[in-house]
Amino acid sequence: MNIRLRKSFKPLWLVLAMVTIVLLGRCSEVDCPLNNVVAVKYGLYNYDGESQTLQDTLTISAIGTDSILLNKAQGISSFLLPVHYTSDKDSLILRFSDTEGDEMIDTLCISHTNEAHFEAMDCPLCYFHTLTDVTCTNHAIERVELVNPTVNYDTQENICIYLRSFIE
Amino acid sequence: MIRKRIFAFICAASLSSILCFSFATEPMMPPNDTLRMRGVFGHFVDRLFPSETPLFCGVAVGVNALGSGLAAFSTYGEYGAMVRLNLKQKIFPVFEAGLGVCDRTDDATDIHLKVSAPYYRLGCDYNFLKDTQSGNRVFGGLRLAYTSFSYDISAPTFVDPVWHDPTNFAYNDVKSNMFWAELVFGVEAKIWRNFHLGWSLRYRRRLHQKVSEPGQAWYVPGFGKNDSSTFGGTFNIVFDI
Repeated sequence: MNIRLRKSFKPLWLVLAMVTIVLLGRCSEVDCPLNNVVAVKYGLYNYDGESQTLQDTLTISAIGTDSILLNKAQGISSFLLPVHYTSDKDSLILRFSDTEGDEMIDTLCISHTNEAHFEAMDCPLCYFHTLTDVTCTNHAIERVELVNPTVNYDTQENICIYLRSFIE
Repeated sequence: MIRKRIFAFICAASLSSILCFSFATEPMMPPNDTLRMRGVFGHFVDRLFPSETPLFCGVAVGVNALGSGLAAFSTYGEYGAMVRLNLKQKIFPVFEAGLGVCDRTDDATDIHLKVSAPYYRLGCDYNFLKDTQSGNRVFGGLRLAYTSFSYDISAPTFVDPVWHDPTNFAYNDVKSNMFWAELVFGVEAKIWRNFHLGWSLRYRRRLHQKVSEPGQAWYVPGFGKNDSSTFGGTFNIVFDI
């Protein structure tokens, strides 16, 4: 009886051994999220609160770095900008230029917290943030509004920028 | 140090169970006293599985050779042992305990993780084979498992890509815990006398997990890699007492 049973076990053992090998092989998969961009999403709106597609060009730089975060962008209604990993306040310089070469400059300040985020061993580390406050000067910008303080892999709109009527 | 203590505990628990049950089996099972000793639970099992097989058919102890091999020869794994009761050759209440270890530095990111903590599983198997006397088993079962652990995680200094500031990432003694359930399916074959070998496949489902600040733990003792994978397996070496 035992011998008969053991014979009938053979295919089961083989199947289980194969499944186990497959499962062990699966352990080497990389589980990093496909969308791993952490950035603040800004939306552009006109005075009436409708989404505005910018006809003028917009260049954004940050105080404390010589990097240009957005270079002569045109035809955009929203954009993503990175957040400082270690500082809790970022100051951005927004330069609006029209077709005639006239410029208007505003400064946008965002206050935030920084939380280190670990996803998996084989994924690069990143920082999540919580926005606590946003202020700006009012040359080309009418006002700003913080609509979603959480900055993580979800690219939902965080800050609404309402432009003055003469910005096209 | 903690690992040695837990090993000592598992060994002591297994040994004490062996001694306890090997002494208890014979005197507890005389036919005249069986009814009195089994009590309400025995009658319940008798009514569920009416047969001539005695209620208490022995105790088995075993180790998870696959997990122990992974723990010894790779960067993470679990040293696991189990104690199992045999009721009517059909029902097998099981207690599994062990030590999950992980000491790993990722090749690509250089992130280093260190975990070493015990885990516990409690559950029951059911033998589907009609021939219960052969010593072979095809079984399914359920486990409830828990671990409370802390881990150290660190990474080399990395630089903010825009502001170029260096940032440090190092967390020590991060507390976490997890409670999960496992659906088990497996086979076990009698190799020689009281010596059995068997495989089990396990579908794992998290019921509760404490996530601390740097994110969820990459490795959870007893659960394994804490990713989207929900399947695991064991290769068991089992001795009937």
